[in-house]
Amino acid sequence: MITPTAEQVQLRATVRAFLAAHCSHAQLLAQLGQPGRFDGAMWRRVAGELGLLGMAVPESYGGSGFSPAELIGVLVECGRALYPAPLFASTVLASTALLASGDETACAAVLPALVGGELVATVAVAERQLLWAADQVAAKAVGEGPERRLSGSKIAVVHGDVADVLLVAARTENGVSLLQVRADAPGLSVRPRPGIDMTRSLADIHFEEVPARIVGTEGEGWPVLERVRDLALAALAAEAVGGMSRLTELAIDHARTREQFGVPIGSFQAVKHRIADMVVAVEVAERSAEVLMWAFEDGGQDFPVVAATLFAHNADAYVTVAESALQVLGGMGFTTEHPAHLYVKRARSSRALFGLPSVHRERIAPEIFGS
Amino acid sequence: MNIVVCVKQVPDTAAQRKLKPSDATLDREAADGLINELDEYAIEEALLIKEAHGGEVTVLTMGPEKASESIRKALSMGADRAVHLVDDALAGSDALQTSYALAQVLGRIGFDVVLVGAESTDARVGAMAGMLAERLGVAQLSLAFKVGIDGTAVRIHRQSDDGYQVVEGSLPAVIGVVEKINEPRYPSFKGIMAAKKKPVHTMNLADAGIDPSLVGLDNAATEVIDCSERPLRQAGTILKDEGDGGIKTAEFLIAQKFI
Repeated sequence: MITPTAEQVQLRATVRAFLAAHCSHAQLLAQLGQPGRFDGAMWRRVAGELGLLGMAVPESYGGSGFSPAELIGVLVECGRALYPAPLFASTVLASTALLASGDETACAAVLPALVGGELVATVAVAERQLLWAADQVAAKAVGEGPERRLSGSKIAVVHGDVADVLLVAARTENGVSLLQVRADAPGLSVRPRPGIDMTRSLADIHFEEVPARIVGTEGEGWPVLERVRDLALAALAAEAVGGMSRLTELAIDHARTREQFGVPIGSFQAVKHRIADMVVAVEVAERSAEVLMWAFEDGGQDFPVVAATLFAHNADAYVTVAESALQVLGGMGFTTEHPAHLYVKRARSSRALFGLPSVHRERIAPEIFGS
Repeated sequence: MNIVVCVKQVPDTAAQRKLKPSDATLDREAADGLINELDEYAIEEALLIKEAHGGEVTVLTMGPEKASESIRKALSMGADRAVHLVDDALAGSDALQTSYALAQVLGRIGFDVVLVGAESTDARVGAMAGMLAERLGVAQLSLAFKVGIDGTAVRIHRQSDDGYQVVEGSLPAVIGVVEKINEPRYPSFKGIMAAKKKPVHTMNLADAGIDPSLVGLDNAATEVIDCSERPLRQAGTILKDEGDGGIKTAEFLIAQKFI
């Protein structure tokens, strides 16, 4: 059964109400004008009052000790509001990486501050292309023991411009390792990457013999990063659900009120059918969010396949719905004042952030069809 | 300190609200139920009083089974326990009868402070603080936008049309709050998960010692004689500005008695 629990429904409603009150379109634009492109006071409420940053973190590290399943509903609502704070980087990417590494010292040192919103962390893997692939990792961490010197370059690091702590994939003697780096360490330079998605900042980061510490076991970083990738894909799939649903509401509102030839444009068959297709896409996507929650609760064995499948589906559906919304909104949809363009950009950017849907379909095909 | 907050579940004000044609009582199925907005401020104030003075916050609600959703929300905000007065015989009770029923429960569960929202968004009588205080024989401190408690002395700032009055009383007391008093917190994720483990005590008429002949629609002191659907909104007036837009707007506002 994949019906969300009463608590999951209430949590999602709470997050929606909070974001509706504090991250409306006008408030979002104001936030994007602030340093770091998000509102610090609101971020502290998200961490402290709502407790959203530690939901999937054990209580021993300051969290609430539940599973990432509860996070899915929160991510749907963040995607709906295009909430620009680094929740995705800190809570989805970095917290997952630390927990999956099994490194208790690193968890105890960093997680409580991430849960409290005092520190922001992110994960850096891609180097030349927007791909998470072990054979693409060329950055090197030299030295012996846990303390290393890291050199190399990473691109499109999510919220890399505001992160205080970076978890970086790099080559060591026995393969790929995960290394923890402070963003203010000597030898590290951050360059904001002008991306199309105005509501999620990216940065390119260069490392020149930067002091770094291995997290988890040397040479065994890749399975940890695969876990991070699966959760990131699930998160992007969930965000898409919220975005699609909001775009469809905007299109419906417009079709009801905008008149041409003396009648609302929603009465024209071409508009009506397009919106009907959007509504169907939203319905399917909503169910996908429930499947994601279930995939966790079911023990998580199928989770990598479920996450990749739903990412691939929702990422494409989001772009289709966004383009349909633009058609319905007409000239209005092309203005800066209207929120539609932000969603179009988010849809296109998220679709490519960790590799296109085709990359992930190809990756999981052997799992489904056998090699 | 034993703090009780009276919470009412009301239909969503954003939805189309209806009265049942059969007996002119509220059609609770027609719209989603949520906590009466002002009661959220009362809950927040109760939590603040608890944080400052210690004690326990009990949520008291009278309403059908469905009102348990509102109880859960109040518990997830941080209240410790809840009492749900639920009995079919209470259906259709008016404000006077409700105050009687709630007073009976309050007499049984005990209290130092009772907090209520200044009015509900559905019935809008706005007299519960006064009625409860009278029935319980304790101080009434209504329309509070600031509450200070020192020992057994309680002092509020009471909102009035042209400013405020400072009103003092002593505990036990009933305090009615207005929305200026605070900003209700959002339930935290932990709070939501903890709420399902908190005790909810259900009471019926007999448990609360309520005389069935004093409650319910048939015994209500007030009666709805007639009701009709609100007429559909008329199309607005569009004023074209041809250099005289200001004058036309002023004339319109004068005609509507706004200026």
